[in-house]
Amino acid sequence: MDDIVEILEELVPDVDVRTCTTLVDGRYLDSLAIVALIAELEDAFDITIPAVEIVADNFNSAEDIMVLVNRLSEE
Amino acid sequence: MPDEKPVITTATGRSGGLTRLHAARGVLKVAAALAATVLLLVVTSYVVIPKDNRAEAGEISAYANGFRGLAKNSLDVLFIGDSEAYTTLSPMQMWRQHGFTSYTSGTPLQLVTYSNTLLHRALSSQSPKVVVFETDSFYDRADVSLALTRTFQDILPVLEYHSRWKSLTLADFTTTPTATWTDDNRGFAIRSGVKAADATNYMTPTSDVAEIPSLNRVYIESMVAYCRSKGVTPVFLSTPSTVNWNMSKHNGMVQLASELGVDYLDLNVDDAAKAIGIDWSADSSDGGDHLNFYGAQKVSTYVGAYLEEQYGLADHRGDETIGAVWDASLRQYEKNVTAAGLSEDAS
Amino acid sequence: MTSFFSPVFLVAFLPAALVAYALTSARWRWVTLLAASYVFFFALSGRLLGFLVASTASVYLLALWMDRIAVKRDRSAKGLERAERRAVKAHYAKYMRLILMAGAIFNLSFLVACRYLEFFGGLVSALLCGVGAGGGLSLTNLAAPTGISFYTLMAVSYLVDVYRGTVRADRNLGHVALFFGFFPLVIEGPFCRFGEVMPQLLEGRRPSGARVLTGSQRILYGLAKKMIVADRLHIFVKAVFSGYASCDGGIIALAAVLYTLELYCDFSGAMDIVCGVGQMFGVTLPENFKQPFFSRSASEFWKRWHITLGAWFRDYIYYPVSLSAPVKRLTKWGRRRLGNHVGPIVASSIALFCVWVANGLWHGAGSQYLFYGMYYFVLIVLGDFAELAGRAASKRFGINRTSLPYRTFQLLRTLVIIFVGELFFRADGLWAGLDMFSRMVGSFNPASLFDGTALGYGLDAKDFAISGVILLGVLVVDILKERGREPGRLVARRPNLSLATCVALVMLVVIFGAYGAGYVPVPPMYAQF
Repeated sequence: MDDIVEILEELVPDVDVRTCTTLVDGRYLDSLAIVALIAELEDAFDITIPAVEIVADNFNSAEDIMVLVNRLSEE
Repeated sequence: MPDEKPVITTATGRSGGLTRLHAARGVLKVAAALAATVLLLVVTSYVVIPKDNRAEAGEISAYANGFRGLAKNSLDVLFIGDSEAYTTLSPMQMWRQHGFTSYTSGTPLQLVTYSNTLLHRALSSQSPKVVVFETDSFYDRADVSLALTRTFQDILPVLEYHSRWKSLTLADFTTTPTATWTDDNRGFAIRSGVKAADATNYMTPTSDVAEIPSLNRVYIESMVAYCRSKGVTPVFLSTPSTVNWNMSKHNGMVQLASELGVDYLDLNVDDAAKAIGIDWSADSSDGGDHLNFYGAQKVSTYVGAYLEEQYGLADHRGDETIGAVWDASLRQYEKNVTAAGLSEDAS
Repeated sequence: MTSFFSPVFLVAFLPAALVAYALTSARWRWVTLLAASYVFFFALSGRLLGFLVASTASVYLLALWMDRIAVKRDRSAKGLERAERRAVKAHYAKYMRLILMAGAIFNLSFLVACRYLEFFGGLVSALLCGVGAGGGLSLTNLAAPTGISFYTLMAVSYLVDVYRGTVRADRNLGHVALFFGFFPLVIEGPFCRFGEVMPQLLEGRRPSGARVLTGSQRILYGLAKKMIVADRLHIFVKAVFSGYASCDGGIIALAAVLYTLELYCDFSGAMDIVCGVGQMFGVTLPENFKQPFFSRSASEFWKRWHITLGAWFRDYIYYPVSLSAPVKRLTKWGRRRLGNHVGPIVASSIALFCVWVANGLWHGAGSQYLFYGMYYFVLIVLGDFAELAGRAASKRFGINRTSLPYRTFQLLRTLVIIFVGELFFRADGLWAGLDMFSRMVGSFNPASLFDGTALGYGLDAKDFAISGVILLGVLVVDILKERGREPGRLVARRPNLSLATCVALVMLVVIFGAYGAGYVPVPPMYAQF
């Protein structure tokens, strides 16, 4: 979780990433940032994030991202 | 859905009755709204309809509707059609030569839907013996949207004259429509240019039968029936044109005319063409699409004589009321012809 | 019947379809929709319906095939270790990718044949000329069925969604046919996703009076925008764009602005009708417009204008390209070498470039459309950099970037970008566009906007007045929507008000619409794409 928060803080400086639940809906993460985020997550956790997972529900909060990462790690 | 009316969900029996009441109230409200719309449309129609039949007063296609300014029941013949009609049929010439009254109600690219409107308008205040339909428009496909629009425009004039919102005056709210104007040329357009036509493929024989679009057919049959119901004889006429007419269209018209039992005169073929003697190097204003004044003279001479003979038209020359009005217009018509740099042969 | 604005559609087809829908039992309502849709398509395009059928059938079959392979893949991968599982999945993915490619190419080839052959021929000829080889290639486009640019992209999106596992392939050919042929969508979209719209289409909700009323309200609002404003401004715009050589800069600038407004009223008006119709049948279709003129940057504009097109490009070009292996490597390299902020921009620019070439060309086979795409590409990339610089500068110099003056500056800047873009979009070709632009800047004379010159292009003062009044109304509605208070919904909650609004809109359209004698009917503008 801390790794995720660290990555997010680098990409989205203006927000408290630990508590924000509208990272995508609130336009803090735009397409540009999401691409960078995905690249970092894939590297950090040795997973592949397929395009089907690029939905708001998976990226709206640090929590959601952690769930996604955990799930993809299992696959 | 957030925008749904809240439905009262109580015990089945009561909600059944209440929802039915709701539904009934809903239907009533919609009916009221529809009624209000119709009422508004009728009221606005009264306001925007031109209060005189001049173009300056906002009349649309004033020339074609100029018959409204004629005395009631003073018309013997009505010509209806597109530009083929108003460039070839000169009522004033026919008046001078035969003494019967006629009007050419034509508009550019007229479709049978508008011909129908003009016919109904004319026959509401006139009772001609003959209505002659120029056949060029029969083959121009009228589509359903246009027909629908035209029908609604005839019922609710606001759909036709709504643009008058820009020029409304107090008078529009207080006066009723009148028709004070009529065209001295009686709907005929004087064309002075000359552009030779290529008549090489003109009326080349063929056994093809051109098909009349089905919606057009419906309108044509309706117009014929309407004429007959009013004791008016319908006639189909094809005026000379190398661009617009051909043998297969002729064949199509022959078939239609025989099916409907309507007299058909085609000036592009046989004795009529010979008698008229169109010179395609001098009688067309635009390379065979339309005739010019000289061509129109020949056509009007023939058609005038034909109509008088076939349908026994009266000679009103010397009639006190009609004669005076039409002779005055005739003077103006002759002036118009001269002003266009043309000359008439007194025939 | 040529479009949603035709009397036949509004007065005859729509009520008939609605009644038929209501009378059908819930299970079969989707079949009624399918029948109505095919009748509509046939009325518009006649035998070209065959193109739609071919696309539908191909996509249906290929999706099922991919689905079968996916099932096999999941069965084989079950119970294996992680590394092995990945290898198995990759193996099957290869086959699925081939099928996806085949399907995409097959469907896109129809689109190319109907819209880009001539352009392609011209390019080849120009190339041959440039190389010195003689001759040329003259190709003519095939006759295009309505909406081919829309349903083809929807077909590709369905195939990709099945490939990705976002949706399961539908076993029912009728369902798939309805999705691609659903009549509100077939002329100008919006682009829909199978997973979002199909369930609604199949639900078969009974049309309720409330929904029909709300839908009618929305339809009439769209009709008003199109018929009173768009068709009216069209006269001025057409006159200036076809005879710009004799216009001074002020008039050209005005034409660019009025064209943008015409396009907005025409397209958003059409979308209002489309969504209103959808509402009547219980289907919520995605919005294409979200108050686009309140955008503060070019990239925000494309998230508020023709939203579903932007979303399609984002999901089916931008993400796939930017997440492809080579570009991902570039992103990592960029972040390391150029920093966390600049790095991603450089890599995403590649994806953006692909998007904007596609966006430009989608709008038309012409160099000015390509220019239009590149225009926005450059501006958006510059905008991304400018955003970084702006953020840094505001921190350094304490500029409040959320203050009203700054936001106003951003708004005005964006408006200028939009108007200039549309100038090029509408011009008769790239050279004309450049010519008009240089005239606009070179001989700009604001006086011509006020001394009556503007009244010489087919519109008189009253025309401008009524357009202004309606546009003001649209502005108020848009401001309210931006604030989250949807006027349409608020009105719809009170049936009396809703009915009164409908009556008022009907009267406005009847009296002030630019139709009838003296007007040439204007087909919906996005139907040509």
